[in-house]
Amino acid sequence: MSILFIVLSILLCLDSVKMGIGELNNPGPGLMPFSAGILLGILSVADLLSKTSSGPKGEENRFKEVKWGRLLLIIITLIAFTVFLPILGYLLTTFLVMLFLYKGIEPQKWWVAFSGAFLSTLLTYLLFAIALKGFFPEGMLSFR
Amino acid sequence: MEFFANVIYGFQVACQPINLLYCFIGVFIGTLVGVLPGIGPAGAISLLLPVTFHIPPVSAIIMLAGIYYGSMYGGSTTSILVNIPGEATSVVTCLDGYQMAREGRAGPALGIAAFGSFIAGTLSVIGLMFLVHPLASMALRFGPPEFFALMCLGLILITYLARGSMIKALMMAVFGLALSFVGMDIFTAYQRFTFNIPQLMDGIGLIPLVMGLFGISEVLINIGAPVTQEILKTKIGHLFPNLREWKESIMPIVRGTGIGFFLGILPGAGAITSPLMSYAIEKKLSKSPEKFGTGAIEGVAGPEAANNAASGGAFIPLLSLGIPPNIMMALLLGALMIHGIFPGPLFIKKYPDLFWGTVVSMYIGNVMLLILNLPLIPLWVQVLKIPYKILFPLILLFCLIGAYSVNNSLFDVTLMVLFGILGYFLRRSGFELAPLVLAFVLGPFMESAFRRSLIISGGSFSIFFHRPIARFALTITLILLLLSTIQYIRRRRFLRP
Repeated sequence: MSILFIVLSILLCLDSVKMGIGELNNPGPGLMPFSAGILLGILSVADLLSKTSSGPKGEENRFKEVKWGRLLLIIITLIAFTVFLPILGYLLTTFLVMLFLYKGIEPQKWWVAFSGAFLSTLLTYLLFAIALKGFFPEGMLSFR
Repeated sequence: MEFFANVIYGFQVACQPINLLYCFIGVFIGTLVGVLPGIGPAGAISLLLPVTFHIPPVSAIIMLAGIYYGSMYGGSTTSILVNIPGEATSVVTCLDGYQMAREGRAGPALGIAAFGSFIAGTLSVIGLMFLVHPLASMALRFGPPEFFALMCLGLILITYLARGSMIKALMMAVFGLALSFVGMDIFTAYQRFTFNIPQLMDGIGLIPLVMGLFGISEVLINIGAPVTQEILKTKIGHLFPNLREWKESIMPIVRGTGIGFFLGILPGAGAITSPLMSYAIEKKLSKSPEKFGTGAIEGVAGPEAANNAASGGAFIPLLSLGIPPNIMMALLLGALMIHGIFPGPLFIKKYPDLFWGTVVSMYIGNVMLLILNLPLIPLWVQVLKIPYKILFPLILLFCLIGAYSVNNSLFDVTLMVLFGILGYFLRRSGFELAPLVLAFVLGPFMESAFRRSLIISGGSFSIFFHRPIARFALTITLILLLLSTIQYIRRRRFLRP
């Protein structure tokens, strides 16, 4: 992570210089981002140094018991929601996404997954689209 | 007389049926998230921020404030019955609360936690009413250097009191500032870090950021390591503490209220540190300190009063100076900004309905919480039994709808998912997200105050040290930075073979 932040700090500084740091009596748009970049760089190096002295053991352990498959499935589901929402519309997309989350990540019985997906889709639609008058895409279920 | 007139006006605002309803919704959700593991008040406020678009600002703030102080009540239930703190603020309550439950005294433990919270919550609201006005009047004389210095101090205190590494907390604060620079520069209209994406011209939205960091990443963290908990099978009766228990508890409640209220005002982790301090003081003052940890009622009453009083105290710097002292207040500031309202010295004058309505609603909310928390304990116990596998899809769905419904934008949803993934890796790597969000919210104000100060002084940094308040705040900031640098160097020397 620290290395990523070091890279970020360099990019931040380079972009800030392009924007113009300005003078102290007339600061430019790049002054604060440049200062933040320098600070982030110093702190990231300090963090990296503290890790090298304590050894990489702790850092490895933090990710040791992670269930990567489940995490990936959730992230893909969230991205699928953004892709399919305009095409399938709110009701169908939400129902399918919820059904998958109930059945695919931590498998539930079919009736639990179905009723959970149906009720959560219906209730959120009633709350956000009807009661709070929010706008949601109707997609292929549009009757207009 | 003016004070009482204002209080009556506050009651008129808070007692409107719509505000009473939102106050109830707020404290109910607060208690719920306090009880439920896997979602905290910051997550709940993040989830409900988009809803506040559709309701009047007074009702919105009443509801969000209710979630904050309501969660303090709810957190104690899990500490006492499950030995898992619902919130970080209830960690100390586990020590004696759970022991009391094991001895079959869960009723009085839950009872004194609720009554202590009620007394402390009510007293802190009174303190808030008396202190905000003079502080706001004083703040009218503040200029950009004072505001910049105070915001620096707030950020440094938050990072100094971070649970993990201070370097990591500082990195998060600077990263939060960097994220706040995305969008149009307020002085020159220059597009910064927008990469020609039109949706980024107004900057990164607070809602996708906090929903991703607190909502999505929380689920990703918990799904990797599911929470397992066993509820203690004990009879919960006799919720009203007896006379002896009251005698033992009343002074810890009073002391806890004072400690919590004043620590809550200070930027940093007031609500988290005050119960610890209250516990330590009660143990020190007790004639039988050996009782602590084995089921002493003072060990529940003091800390529970402290964390509730801290939540009242935390409103003072936000409402009088416009500076949020903790993450929850930063989210409330975000909610106010969504409605085009910027708290500060003129807040009470400009928005009396919002200020007095919210403050008085906190009295009413405390009464509602007492009613919710005592007779409804069996209901909260049932809530505790809801498995996380049922809850997490609902949390994700609320995040998706919330992020989308603000601007009807799928870009915001994508941004939220990205922040969720980022938040997951940051948390897994031991980074705390509170400094990031606080710095993100304060960033535009800090930049504006800093650049204005330099323009006023003709480019001289001495402006920050000529004015007494700015000098005081920056001196403390520098001392804290110096202290943490010394600690860092010492630790490196110690670890070197």
